[in-house]
Amino acid sequence: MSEKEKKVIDARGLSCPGPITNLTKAYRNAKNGDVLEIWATDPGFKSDIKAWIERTKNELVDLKEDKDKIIAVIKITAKK
Amino acid sequence: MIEKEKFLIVGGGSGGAILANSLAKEFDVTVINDSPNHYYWPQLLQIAFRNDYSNLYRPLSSLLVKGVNLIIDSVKKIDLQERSITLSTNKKLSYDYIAIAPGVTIDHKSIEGNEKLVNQFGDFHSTPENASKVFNIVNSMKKGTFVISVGDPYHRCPPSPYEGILLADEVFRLRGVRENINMVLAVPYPRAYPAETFNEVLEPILKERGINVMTFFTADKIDTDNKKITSLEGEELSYDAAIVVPVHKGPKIEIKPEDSVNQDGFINADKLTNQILSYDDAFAIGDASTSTNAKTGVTAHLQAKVVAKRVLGLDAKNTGRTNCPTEIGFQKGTFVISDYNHPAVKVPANTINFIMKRLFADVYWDVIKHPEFWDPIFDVYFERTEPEVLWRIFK
Ligand SMILES: Cc1cc2nc3c(=O)[nH]c(=O)nc-3n(C[C@H](O)[C@H](O)[C@H](O)COP(=O)(O)OP(=O)(O)OC[C@H]3O[C@@H](n4cnc5c(N)ncnc54)[C@H](O)[C@@H]3O)c2cc1C
Repeated sequence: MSEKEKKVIDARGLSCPGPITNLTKAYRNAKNGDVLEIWATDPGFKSDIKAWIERTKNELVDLKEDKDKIIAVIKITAKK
Repeated sequence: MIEKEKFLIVGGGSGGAILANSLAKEFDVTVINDSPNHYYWPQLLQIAFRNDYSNLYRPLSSLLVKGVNLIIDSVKKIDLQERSITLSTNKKLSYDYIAIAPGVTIDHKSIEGNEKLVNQFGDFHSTPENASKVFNIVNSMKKGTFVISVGDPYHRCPPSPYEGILLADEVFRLRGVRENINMVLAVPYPRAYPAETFNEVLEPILKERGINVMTFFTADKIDTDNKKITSLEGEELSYDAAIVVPVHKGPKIEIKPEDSVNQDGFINADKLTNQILSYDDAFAIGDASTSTNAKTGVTAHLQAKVVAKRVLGLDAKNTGRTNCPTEIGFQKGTFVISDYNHPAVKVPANTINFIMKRLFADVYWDVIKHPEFWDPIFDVYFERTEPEVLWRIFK
């Protein structure tokens, strides 16, 4: 998948209500095969995203820390 | 005399009305609002759980200061390149500056079955009529499962579903039927409240009140015949009465260029300045804008003040401050206070916070009408209650 097809969700600096809210909003519009990249600064985001993946059975392609943000790359595979 | 520059404001709600009143001296301000009334949306909760309509709306004309022009009509097109707007009557207006503040559009259709469900049980994010249906159900239900399920995490007022379930609990307890009712709050998040720190305040309260929380549950389909909600995440939830917080979308206005709105119709604006794309004469504030980190009146208010300062040449920027009063029933409340650099503070629930919330509803109208009086008061309030300061107190 090219960079162009990837949808970036910038949730940096969001702590009320939090980055996971942006992901859920994007999930409603997503289709299987879509790749979402979420940027967050909220430290709790790493464990939240793992729990979300476990519950929804989508695919966590990458989870890493940049110098100023946490980046999660998710492939949507479990949408009914 | 130099002619004043033309400043158009689309939508005279919390954000638009404050902005208009803040710029009336310096600009030739015109507000266009599609209704003659200005609604105070937090009142929907008071209608739903207390049947209290007292602060629901006032005529917008009574809230705007002298010199602000008001047009009651719906804006159907905005062209940022042409610097013009078109009204439903096809009348065209041009501007030197524009602020777009038309709030959200509630879309019950996005969740299959929600239109039917709302017809039955109502909700408290759309209309006073729907809020009154909630009042009827919480005052007639005797037994069974009562559900509040969040269908859109980006709804207005982040704490409102929690206020809803806790106020319903209060009603059921006062009616003496609580022990026969199973209460469920279903949310899209990994824990009851999405912001982890504030969850530490809220989760124990929900537990103490016997409210069951279902996590990672985003309402997606409702089968009203079999009384079942299915989530985007693939789970099912049965109910006897249910309220689903509906999907929120951007305004129904055609805005050019097309890349100034996102997939859900929200206007792409800078989170620090509210400027739309590279148009330095165009701003989007409040619920309609992607620049708000929480869809609250306080955010709309603070953004209006930032835009007012910027067009007067000052380098003001949004801090992302939230200040959401959260009622938990039985005359107690707390606040969700955070900003771009600080997570939500653990403000404990108490009666003083509840009183502050209730009193604010009464002074709201004066706050809109008289920014020159209230601005210095709010400046002090927001400075003394900065998350940085409060974090030192509520560790
Ligand atoms: C149940 C509930 C509880 C809440 N509690 C709180 C709270 O405690 N504290 C808090 O700060 N916030 C609270 N809010 C949120 C708050 O009400 C909103 O965030 C706030 O009203 C946003 O202001 P706004 O100016 O962006 O939009 P609005 O206030 O919605 O104003 C938009 C205006 O634009 C007009 N309009 C729309 N489309 C057009 C068009 N095409 N042409 C012309 N005019 C148009 C509308 O008629 C309206 O007057 C609550 C909301 C709800 C639903």
